[in-house]
Amino acid sequence: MLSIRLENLSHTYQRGTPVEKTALHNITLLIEPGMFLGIAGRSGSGKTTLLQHLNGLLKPTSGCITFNGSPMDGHGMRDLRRRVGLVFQHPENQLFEETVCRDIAFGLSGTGLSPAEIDIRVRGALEAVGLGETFLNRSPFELSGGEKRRVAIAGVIVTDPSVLVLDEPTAGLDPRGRRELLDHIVALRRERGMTVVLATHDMEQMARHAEQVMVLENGSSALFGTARDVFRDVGTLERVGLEAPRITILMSKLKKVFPEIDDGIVTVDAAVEELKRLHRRQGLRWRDHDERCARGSVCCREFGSPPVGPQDEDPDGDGIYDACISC
Amino acid sequence: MATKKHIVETQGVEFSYGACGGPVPGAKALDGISLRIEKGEFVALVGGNGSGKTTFARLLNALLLPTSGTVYIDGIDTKDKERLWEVRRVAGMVFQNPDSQIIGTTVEEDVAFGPENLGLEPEETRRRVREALRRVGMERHADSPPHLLSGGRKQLVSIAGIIAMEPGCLILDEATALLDPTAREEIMELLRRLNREEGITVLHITHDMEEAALADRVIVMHAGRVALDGKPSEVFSRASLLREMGLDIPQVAELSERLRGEGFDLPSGLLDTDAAVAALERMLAGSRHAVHTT
Amino acid sequence: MATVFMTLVFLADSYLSFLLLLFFTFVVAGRAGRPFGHSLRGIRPILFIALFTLAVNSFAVKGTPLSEYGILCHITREGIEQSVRMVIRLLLLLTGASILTSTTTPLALMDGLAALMRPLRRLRVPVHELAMMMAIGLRFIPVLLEEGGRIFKAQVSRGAGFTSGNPLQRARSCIPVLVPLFAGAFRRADDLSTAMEARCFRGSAGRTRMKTLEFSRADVICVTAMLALSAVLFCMEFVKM
Repeated sequence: MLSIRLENLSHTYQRGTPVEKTALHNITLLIEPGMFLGIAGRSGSGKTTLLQHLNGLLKPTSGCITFNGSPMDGHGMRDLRRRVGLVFQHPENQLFEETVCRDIAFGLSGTGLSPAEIDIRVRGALEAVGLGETFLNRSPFELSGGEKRRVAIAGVIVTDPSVLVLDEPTAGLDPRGRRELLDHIVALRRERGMTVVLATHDMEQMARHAEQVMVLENGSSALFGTARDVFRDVGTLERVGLEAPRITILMSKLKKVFPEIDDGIVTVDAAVEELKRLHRRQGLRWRDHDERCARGSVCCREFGSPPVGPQDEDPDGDGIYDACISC
Repeated sequence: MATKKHIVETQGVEFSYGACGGPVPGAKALDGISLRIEKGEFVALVGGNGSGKTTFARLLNALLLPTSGTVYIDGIDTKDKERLWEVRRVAGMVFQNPDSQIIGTTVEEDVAFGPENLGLEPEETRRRVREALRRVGMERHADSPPHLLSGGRKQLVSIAGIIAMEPGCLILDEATALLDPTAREEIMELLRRLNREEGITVLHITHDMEEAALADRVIVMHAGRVALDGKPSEVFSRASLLREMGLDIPQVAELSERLRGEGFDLPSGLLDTDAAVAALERMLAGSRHAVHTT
Repeated sequence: MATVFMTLVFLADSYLSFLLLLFFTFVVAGRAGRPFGHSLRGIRPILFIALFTLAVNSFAVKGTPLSEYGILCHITREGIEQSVRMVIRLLLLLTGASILTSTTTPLALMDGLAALMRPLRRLRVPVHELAMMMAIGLRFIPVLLEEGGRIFKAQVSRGAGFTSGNPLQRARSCIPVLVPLFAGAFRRADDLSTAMEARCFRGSAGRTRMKTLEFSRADVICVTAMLALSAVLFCMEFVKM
């Protein structure tokens, strides 16, 4: 179990030179075991820089990062990198071995495991990414793009990391490929109890899987909270150059007419349920209204005006509701 | 015979990669594609991996030749060796990887690459380069080295490089696939402008359904054939068919199709968010009708 | 032009010649818009080597000793003169090179080189294609450097160690970076050639250039000045003999 804490972490590239650039500014974050954390942001917002701190590739230029409460020093680096697996963007570009088996096993070099152990782990990793044993002796260079990517990911999970960090893992894949890959990651998390940190600008993907989300804007944290809360803030998302899922935008527009709608909806499934629920309640309200307003039943049927709210006001006491007068 | 009116016309086109590599040798990547694209259309071509859409694109500018059938670009048969370069000028293509198509050491130089290849006079080349950069909004970056630009800007440069050749049809082969949402929006905005204001024919090959919904016409490819071809609202209303082919539909369309499937009163072919909101409002208001009749 | 300058630098031997060359460089630097100080700053890294050369040569050359006392008896007058000359030559060369690279873009340099090589076309040397290869290579250097860096980080993240072991082991540990880098470069070359074909590239046949290298008035002045300088220096050196 590994928890990672970032406190006021900042990172400036090429400090002291005329081309210095502050990629991260005062980031405070606690990554707890078992979390599924999404990091959202445009290209250049600092996502990659943040991720590279999580396995010690980069050190903060100010602030600190601790692993289970203690900072990391040079000695523990190799061990840290086995416990925090970092999958880079387009990981298929890093394959180099003659066979898939040897490439995946690269991550276990220097661990002192027996060949038999290594074999078991490699097979396990391959299975976890949805590839069969037939791939073991093939050359990575003759595989398709999607297969190569999975081999590369297997090469990272073979060390059985507690934390899996992924930088845009579905970049360039088609919708089906994206879904499948993420399903494998979700299954992996469930089976091995891994913490997952996923950086992406694909909000629909994040909406489907992330529990907590941090939105970066020019290196600073613009939003942080549960997925629902973050996606609800359509305005901020738009400002930082991201798009809330279309379904969320639709529901928030609908909310202006039907205030009781839940605008934290992020998937189509949830939206369908919410609208059905609303429809049932509307039906009930109308029936209520009809039964109580003598004249209302006729004019409302003709003009179809929606109820403004569940008010039951009849100031004149003539049996006609204010909502009817407005139509 | 092909008429000049269609900028792209294919007749019974088939293609197999054959024994020299590519996907399953011998299997047909394209199995009888016959379609026409008129001048000024904005067409989106969608399909999953293996649907044949990339192969089809390569046939349009004669990077590949059909194993049977014919491809006509502005009336020219792509198999015509004498007019190969004319075909490639008319069917201008922008590719997916922003870095792997920029040649020049500066933006200006890269945009000039195409016109230079066409053998234009330096003065004319200079004029076209300036114009093209202005049209894509990159004139301020004319002297920038390309490696300092963002992915979206690099694609703008590549589009400028094709426009400078004055193509008949601008073909984008998944050119937005590796970009972030803001950059993608910028490109789509540019394509709409070029299409609407300047009448440039656009063929946008993509697997992003929200982008496809912005086109005037959507062609869906599956297993080397054209499965659907029509307006976005028509195509995306065929939700179950698209799902069978492993394709997504825009979330708004999916929502309305699911609700329709459960008996709710919604028009088919809803794509635009605001139109959907209005329709849902009406549906929820009309809920009283449904209850009243019971 | 630069080559001629370099030859002159080596020819010059008297202090007067050097002075003339220095003056010339000063003028050129001024015209190029680069204050002399700026160019000198580019020499700072080499200053150490220059001083070292000065020191070594002072001791190395045999001749009349400076004095009879202590360490100074090993330093000869000729030695000092020799080393001073060397240092001045070094400074002139470096300033010249620095002006060249700071005023001319790599591409223009390559165009110039390609223009000079043009006569080689008679010998069926594919000059144009070579020039294009050089230009494209130059454009991709930063891209490949970045990619190499990324791959290195990715392999380090997987537990690769690069600094331990004997030279053979260290060489082998470069494989996880070099193989993907080369594979990526080949793939990129493939994509690039497809893109070039799509933009109607068919070799140098019928190709024009937007930026043409033309002989302008400034060029005439430069060439004349260079010729004049060469003539003067020639006279000074050889007539002296």
